[in-house]
Amino acid sequence: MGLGRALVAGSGVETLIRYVGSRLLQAIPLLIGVVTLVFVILHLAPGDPTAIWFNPSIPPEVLERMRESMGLDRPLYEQYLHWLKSFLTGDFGYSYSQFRPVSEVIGDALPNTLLLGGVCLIVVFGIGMAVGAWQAVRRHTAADSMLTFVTLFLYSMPGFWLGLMLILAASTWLGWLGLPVSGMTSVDHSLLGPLDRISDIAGHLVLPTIALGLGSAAGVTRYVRGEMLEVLGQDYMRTARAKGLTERTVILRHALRNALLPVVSLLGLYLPLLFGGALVIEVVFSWPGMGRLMYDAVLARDYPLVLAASFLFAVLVIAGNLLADVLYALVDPRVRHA
Amino acid sequence: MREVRSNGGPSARRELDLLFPGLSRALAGRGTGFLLLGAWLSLLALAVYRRPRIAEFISHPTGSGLVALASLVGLLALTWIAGTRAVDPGDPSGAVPACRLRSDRRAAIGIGLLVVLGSAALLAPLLAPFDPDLIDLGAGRLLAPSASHWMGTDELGRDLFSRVLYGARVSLLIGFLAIAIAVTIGTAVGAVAGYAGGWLDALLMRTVDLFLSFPRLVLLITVVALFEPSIPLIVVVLGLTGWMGVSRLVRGQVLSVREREYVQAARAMGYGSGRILRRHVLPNVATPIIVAATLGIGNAILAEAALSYLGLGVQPPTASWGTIIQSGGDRLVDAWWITTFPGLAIVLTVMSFNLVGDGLRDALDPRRGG
Amino acid sequence: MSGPPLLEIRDLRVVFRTVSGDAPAVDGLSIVLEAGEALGLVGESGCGKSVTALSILGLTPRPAGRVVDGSSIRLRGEELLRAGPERMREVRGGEIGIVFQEPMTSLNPVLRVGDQVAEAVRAHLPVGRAALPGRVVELLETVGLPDAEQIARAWPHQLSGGMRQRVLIAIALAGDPDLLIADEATSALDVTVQATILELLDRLRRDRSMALLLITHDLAVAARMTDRIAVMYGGRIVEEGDTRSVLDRPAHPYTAGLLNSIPDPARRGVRLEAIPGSVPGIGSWPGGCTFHPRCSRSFARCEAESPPLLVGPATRAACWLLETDE
Repeated sequence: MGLGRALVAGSGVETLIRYVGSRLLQAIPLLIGVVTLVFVILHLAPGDPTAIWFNPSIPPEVLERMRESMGLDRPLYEQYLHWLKSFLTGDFGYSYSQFRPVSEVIGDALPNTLLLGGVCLIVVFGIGMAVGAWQAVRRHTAADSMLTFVTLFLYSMPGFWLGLMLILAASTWLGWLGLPVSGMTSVDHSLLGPLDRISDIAGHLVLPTIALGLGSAAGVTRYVRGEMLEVLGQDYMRTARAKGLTERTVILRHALRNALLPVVSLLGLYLPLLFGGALVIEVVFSWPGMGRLMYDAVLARDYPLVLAASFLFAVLVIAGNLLADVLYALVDPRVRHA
Repeated sequence: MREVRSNGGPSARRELDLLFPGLSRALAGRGTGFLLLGAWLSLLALAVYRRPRIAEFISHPTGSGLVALASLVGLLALTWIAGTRAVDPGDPSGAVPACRLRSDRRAAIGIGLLVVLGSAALLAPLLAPFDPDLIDLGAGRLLAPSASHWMGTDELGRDLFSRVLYGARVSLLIGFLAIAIAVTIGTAVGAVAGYAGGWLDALLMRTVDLFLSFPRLVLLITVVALFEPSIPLIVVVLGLTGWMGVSRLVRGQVLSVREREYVQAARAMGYGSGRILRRHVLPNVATPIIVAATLGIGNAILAEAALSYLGLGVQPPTASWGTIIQSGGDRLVDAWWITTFPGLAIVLTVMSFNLVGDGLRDALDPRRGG
Repeated sequence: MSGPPLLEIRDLRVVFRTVSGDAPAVDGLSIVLEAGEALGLVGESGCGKSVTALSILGLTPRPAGRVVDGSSIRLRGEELLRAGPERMREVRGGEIGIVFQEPMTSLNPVLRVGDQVAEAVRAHLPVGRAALPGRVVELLETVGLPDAEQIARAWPHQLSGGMRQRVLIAIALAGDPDLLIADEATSALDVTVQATILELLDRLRRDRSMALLLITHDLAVAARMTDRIAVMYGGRIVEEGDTRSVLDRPAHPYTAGLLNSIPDPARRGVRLEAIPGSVPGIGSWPGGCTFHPRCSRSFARCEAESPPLLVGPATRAACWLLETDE
């Protein structure tokens, strides 16, 4: 009698929570590692780290006094601990190109990057999964071969160049579409009503999302096609057909569900690519996000901002990976019992 | 070296081969024959057409000129050797395989494209119609593509086609060097992690996770911002940010081979770990590494292009494809050719690497591709 | 017993497309199965028995496989090879159920067991949403699974091979079919588990008055379970008759060879005889009687002509020997 009970014990919420907890725990040393790496890079760079941190143009006497007052002439490991503490509590110093605390500057830009990244992610995976699965079902047709070539082409394209080509097209022969080619908002944005504001931003999102996403979408398509092909050859597909189910049910309920599972793990792989790509796309399209912020900071030699942005990109990737892991556990029952 | 006795048969043809390598194969209707013959004739035509240039390179040797000359000679030699190898009428080895596998064909097309691109890069000084640094601030500025300037000219009057050709050298070189570094680091880390196991394995894999947490471009920019940009720096950082995938691959292979019987046997015979690694593990791992490396070069080229576009990569006056695109940024609509053509070159190159990488990978795992 | 037989296959030919042309996998197979009967289709791997099973249900792997014109598969007189996709879906699971060989991979890993059974029920029977869970539990109990309610909520990877096979049998029975095909259903299981599954199949067949087409390479299994046996070699039937007759008085040298190679405690000390040679692969079947290269009693005619099923002393066999002496 207890056999059945023993079998299904632990397939409930408790395993899920335990799994999430363990992943969270694993993320902490990773965060510390990231902060440490940034610290190491700073101290490996030529020049005085303190001068870099504050502002290379400050005269040395002033710098010396600032160092003493901040206790930065202490030994390295004390500096490291101080660094660790400030980064993990969100104190990133002062941006001397924007004359504000770095955390404020980033706080303004971060949501914009998240918006672009988030919309792009949805588009990438939405298109990728749909087209990839469709391709697998239509294997060996002309459409499949053509799509294979197209995805290869898109996948090999530099994102920033695609962005430039899109701007070119939108400014010339596709000009009638009226797509905005730069910025996140129009000049008169603040005068618009709430609904118009949303559509204004949406319009500005179109080109950057395409530029950022098309390459990744091609990559996801290729991956999903491969996964779907593999699933279609599995034994349980034969069982499903032998049950007398409609082909539609067989594909949607049995094939897709299995093929799309590993796609969630693809998320973890694509997040760094997405954020890295976002950096350049934001520059190309003058999108006011963290990427463009970091770029401007590099040009202005505003190192606190550069280092903080670098750290935050890593945090975003780590957080995204965590979410992806949780999502995967939710969706694939086998993971929870491993 | 079989010789069939028939009138004017293969022996006569073989002599023709000495002058026109690949001719006999082409006459036999085989694809490689046409390719070799075509390559031979094109290279010869180039040499003849560029006589004055070649003379210049010999009398006033420069680094790049010597590279071009050496490449020309080398390519001619290779083509000749390949084309004059004895071909038995019944011997299928001279034929392009009937491409039974689509993945084989993909890899073949990719390799073909790469050979052409690579040759173009090596022979740039001979192929370029103009000097890439030749400035013409008069009537030559910003000319649209035409018969004399195939890709137009840039804002300083320099011929774009020549610049793109020379840019190929920079981009390809950086890509190769970066991947060489990445593969070396990755193989070492992966092998040690897989073989040692235990805490060392865990530590190394966490380090991999750490590096994977940074978007590559972000790390690149941070380092370039703090250090001064230079080609060696770019190569090193590209290498330091591209080894993670290889290490996981190698580690996986090492783990699967480690427990196999012949390794146990080798250990029982007293072979040291290093020797076991080298002789048993590495050969298995070679092909996946080649696949990863091929795909990695494509990614490295894309990363360098992005970096150079941002102005943080290759610094002028050296031209890479990314810097050329950057220079065309302000004139995107008016002088679209400056931005378009280098980009197309990048796409073509990366596509070739991807074709080879994908083709190789699918050929190894026949369940997937096709 | 009036009316057409439950299942009648006549001259079934299935070919597979290969690089070097069409290779036959089934080459003129004919069997008849009456309602409630248990027929054993016995043969070694490579003789085409699984392809036969798939063809009955219209599941021949496409585009590689193809049923050749002139074949006939009739279910109670209805020609299945000409039936439309809608009708075939009704047949699959609703009138003919099938259990395959690999229980470990035949269940969808991301759906709960109960859902997969329920799916099969709903496809063929008008069971309402409310009554469905009960019906699922009933089915799971019928196939001998303890704690059926818990099992219904379980995931496939939580079950053992034997349990999964029982679930698959439940799925095959869900639509109340009149014919159950068991294609090597026990070959991938442990010997002890095999016996219990066979027992289960036997019991189910009797309880539901279902016909059973038992496909196996194991003569001993067929001996226990079936009323009649058809021996398959080289894509066609070489001998068929009622089970006792086939086992006691086989007319075809292949059947005799199979029987001789079974270890038998009664013949302890006597050397096991293996049939010389090996089963030809698809595409390389010899001309004439496909068995003749391995047959110790073959003669000229065997190489020239392929024999049809001829009447023998107790069975029917495709062997020219039946037309010569005796």
